[in-house]
Amino acid sequence: MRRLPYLAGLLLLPSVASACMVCDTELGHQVQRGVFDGHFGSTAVAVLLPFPAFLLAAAAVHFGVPKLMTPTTKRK
Amino acid sequence: MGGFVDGILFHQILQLHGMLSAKFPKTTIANIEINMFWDGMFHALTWTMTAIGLALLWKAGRRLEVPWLGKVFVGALFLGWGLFNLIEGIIDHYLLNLHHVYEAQGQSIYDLLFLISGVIFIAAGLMAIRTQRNVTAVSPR
Repeated sequence: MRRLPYLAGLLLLPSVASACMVCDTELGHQVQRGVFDGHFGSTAVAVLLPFPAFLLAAAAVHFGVPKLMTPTTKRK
Repeated sequence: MGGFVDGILFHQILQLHGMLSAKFPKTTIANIEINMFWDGMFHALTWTMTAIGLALLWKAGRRLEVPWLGKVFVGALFLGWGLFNLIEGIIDHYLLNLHHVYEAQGQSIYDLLFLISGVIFIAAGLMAIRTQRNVTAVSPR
């Protein structure tokens, strides 16, 4: 009985694999070429760039903006 | 939360733009699917940010000095939403030109309105938080 979920999972695998109805068509290949077009890394960085920027801004709001212009010790 | 408003309302329901609709105009099925892939990446990071926000909220809930008030909570939500609109608007709409709010018009007044909404939300959020900062809150902790 314990093996039943695993067997059911195995039975479902082929249907999941064939769920993409266009992956093996010309349209599917066009999409793959468009996504993995040799600029995947730079596109991913561009798409995801607002998030680290947002984290930095949120950290600045939470912790306060670092005082880059802290007055140095006056020389006597 | 602001990222989900953008992604769900503008990308999916109204379909005004996609993540890379300036580079891949949504005029063919292939381009629509490419945009859908990058929309998914965007939503995945938005989900991660929301999870981080929930973790921080959980942590803040244990601190007695944090005013546990609805107005502060809503103010913080608007502050985050405004920050998102401002940052995403500047980077994606102006610096990188990945997409524009109303893609059919390219860079337009709608991009500017998006930025202005960010500034207004930030100001409203900060005001809501600051007016309640010194109020002694009934804490659930």
